Amino acid sequence: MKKFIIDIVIFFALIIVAAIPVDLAISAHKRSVTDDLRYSQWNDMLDGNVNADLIIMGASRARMHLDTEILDSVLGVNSYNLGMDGTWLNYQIKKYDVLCEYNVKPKVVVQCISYGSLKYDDDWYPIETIFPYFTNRIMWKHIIWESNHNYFQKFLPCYRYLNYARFARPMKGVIHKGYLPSDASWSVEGFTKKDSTDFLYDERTTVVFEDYVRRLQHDGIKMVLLFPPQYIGLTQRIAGLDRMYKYYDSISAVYNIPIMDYHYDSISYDTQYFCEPTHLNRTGAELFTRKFAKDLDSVLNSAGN
Amino acid sequence: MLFTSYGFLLFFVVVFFLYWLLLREKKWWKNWVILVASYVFYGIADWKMIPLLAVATAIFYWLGIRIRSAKTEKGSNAYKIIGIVLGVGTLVYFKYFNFFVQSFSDMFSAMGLQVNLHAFNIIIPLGVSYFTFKLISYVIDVYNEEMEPCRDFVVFADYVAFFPTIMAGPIDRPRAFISQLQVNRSFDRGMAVDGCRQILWGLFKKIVIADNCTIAIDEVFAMSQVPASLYLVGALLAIFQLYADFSGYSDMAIGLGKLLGVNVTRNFRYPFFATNIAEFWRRWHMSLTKWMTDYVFTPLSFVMRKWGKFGLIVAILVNMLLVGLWHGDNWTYAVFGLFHGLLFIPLIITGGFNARQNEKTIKFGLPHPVSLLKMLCIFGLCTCGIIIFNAESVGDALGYFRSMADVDIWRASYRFFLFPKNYVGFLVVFMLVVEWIQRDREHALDLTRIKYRWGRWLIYYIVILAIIFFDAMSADQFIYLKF
Repeated sequence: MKKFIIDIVIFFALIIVAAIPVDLAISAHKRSVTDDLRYSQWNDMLDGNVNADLIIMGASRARMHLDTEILDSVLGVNSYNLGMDGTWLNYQIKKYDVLCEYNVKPKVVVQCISYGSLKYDDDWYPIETIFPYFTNRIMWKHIIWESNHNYFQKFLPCYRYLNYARFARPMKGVIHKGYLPSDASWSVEGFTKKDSTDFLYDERTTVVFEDYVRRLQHDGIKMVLLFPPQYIGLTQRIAGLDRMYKYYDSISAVYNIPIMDYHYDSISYDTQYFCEPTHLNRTGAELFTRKFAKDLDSVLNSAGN
Repeated sequence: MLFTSYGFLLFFVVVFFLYWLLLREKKWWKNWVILVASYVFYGIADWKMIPLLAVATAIFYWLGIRIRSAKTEKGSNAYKIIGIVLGVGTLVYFKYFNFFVQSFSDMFSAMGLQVNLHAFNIIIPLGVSYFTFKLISYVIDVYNEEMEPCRDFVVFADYVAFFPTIMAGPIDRPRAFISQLQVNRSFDRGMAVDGCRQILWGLFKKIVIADNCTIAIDEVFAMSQVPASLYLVGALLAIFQLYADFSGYSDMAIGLGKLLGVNVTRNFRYPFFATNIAEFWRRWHMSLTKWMTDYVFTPLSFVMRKWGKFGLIVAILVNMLLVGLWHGDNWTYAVFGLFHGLLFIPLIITGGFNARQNEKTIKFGLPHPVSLLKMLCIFGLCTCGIIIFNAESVGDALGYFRSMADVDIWRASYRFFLFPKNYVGFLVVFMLVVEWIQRDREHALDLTRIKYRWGRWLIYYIVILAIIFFDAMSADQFIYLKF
């Protein structure tokens, strides 16, 4: 019995001992990645390289729609795009908290919102984006401890990398301060797949969101809520669009936050600017960013007055 | 609480240490630990059915004693019949009552008669097919004097509710199982190590093969237009999924038993290497086949012996029909059973029914071409059986066959099978190769012939890495839990 238990302990201890340096090496490698958005955003944040005047928060639409290079040139600011695919507001806000631990707080936050932003999900997605930072205390404090990774993923070296290796999809390309557009052209298949959708709402997210809004105001940070363009056919299919506007209008009224809505902008009617109903392609993103930058400039100036 | 869950791991570690480290000289302690663990395990899954399990156990315990203590043969037989009726009745009530009601209703409707037959909202207790079979075999074996009635209630309750096997088998036979619990067990390192190996192989089959097959099957049928060749691929994946899922579960159950010093009956013996249908059933779900052979087929063929081969054919058809229906209340299971029964007929006519056929090999341990051809034929026929087994209705099964019988069956879909994003074809081939090499062993990870520990450990590490790497993350239920 004793020998059996010792054998079992040695068997697993050997795995762990061998896995620690491998884990450290993989994490160190990913901590230096610059051409994969899944890691480059976090690397910039944790290395204190963001320090932006204007940050864009949001999910994939933020990431794909707002070209930081154009924003910088038009607005004369230093902007950074923190948009990441598949993230809901509750996790975007955690990301903002990590940002503030390592970087100067921004002056302006452009918060991209959509019919799905208020969904609550305790999945961190894409899950592998935070894997290299499991030795970081701040990441544990804000994200990892509460994330839905199981204990094996949290505490066993290497396990998380192996476990998700097959599912990981790189987000590579020429990345400019978090902006990574798509070069794809309109896909009809993408549109037919999205038959209909609903305004997703969860009170757990609204509580966190409103607290975040208050914190920004407390810190004197200007906030803009942005409905980026989406193909009009999709907007027409969203059930509960009225409820969505009602909620965000109430936030806007209570906290005096401007809303910039491009759902019905001319861009939203033209498929040549989209790769699929929810996302602009590079051409659309560049056109939209120029338009948005001008509008934002006037919104901020009028808000400043 | 699935065997593959972290919760079960924690549960088993606690049970293991309580079992072996506390009061290690006392067999009653070990038996109590098994009993409490089994009821906790069963209760977590379905606490409402604990009274049913406990009452059924108590009744059959009493019947076993009464069968032996009855003063007359007639009395003894009466207790046996009560046991059989209760066992079969429990099974029929929970699993088939609504099926019969619906079938009668449909039959009367077809005859133009309107009858008010109402189905009940019956919740099927988990593992009912398994523990009722254990109970029935107990009363029959006691009556046939193949064993003494168990006079230790805890031991008997352990036999009925043994947690590694209560949900999905294997269906242990009372004599072999109870006798193990009637003596004290001392820790056997070799047995425990082998149990760990078998659990590891079971995990590999479930997590790597079965769950990835599930994903691949879903991918096939998520396509808007499925060509005939992909229907074929879907059927092939389905049989591997079922095998890996169920045999994986059985391996884990047997391995867990070994860790507790208890030998659980074997359930699979590399069925894809069978060269005739009888051999297939001697290798697939062996505990059920053996049970049905002993308690249904053998008595039935004895009764029909005067009719020669015809009697044997009738006996096998009835037997296989019941094997099919054991799985659940759907005509597809009955057709599945009959289909397999029909496959026995050529074997019975040619006199090869009882002949044991082992696979022949040529150089390098490769299968002999004739053996390989036979294996492929049996595999193909069993794949057809699985199409019926998995279908929602007999009509759906026929529709599936029709969809497969199209000219584009020849349109290559090998790419999907061999190189899908989850590498499922490669994984299945890997499993078959390993099982072929290890076919003379109880399980494919029995590496005792490798002399060096580092060599064995290296293979275990590779299997663990494969499990982690290919984990489909779908945490699917085991298929046979629903039966």
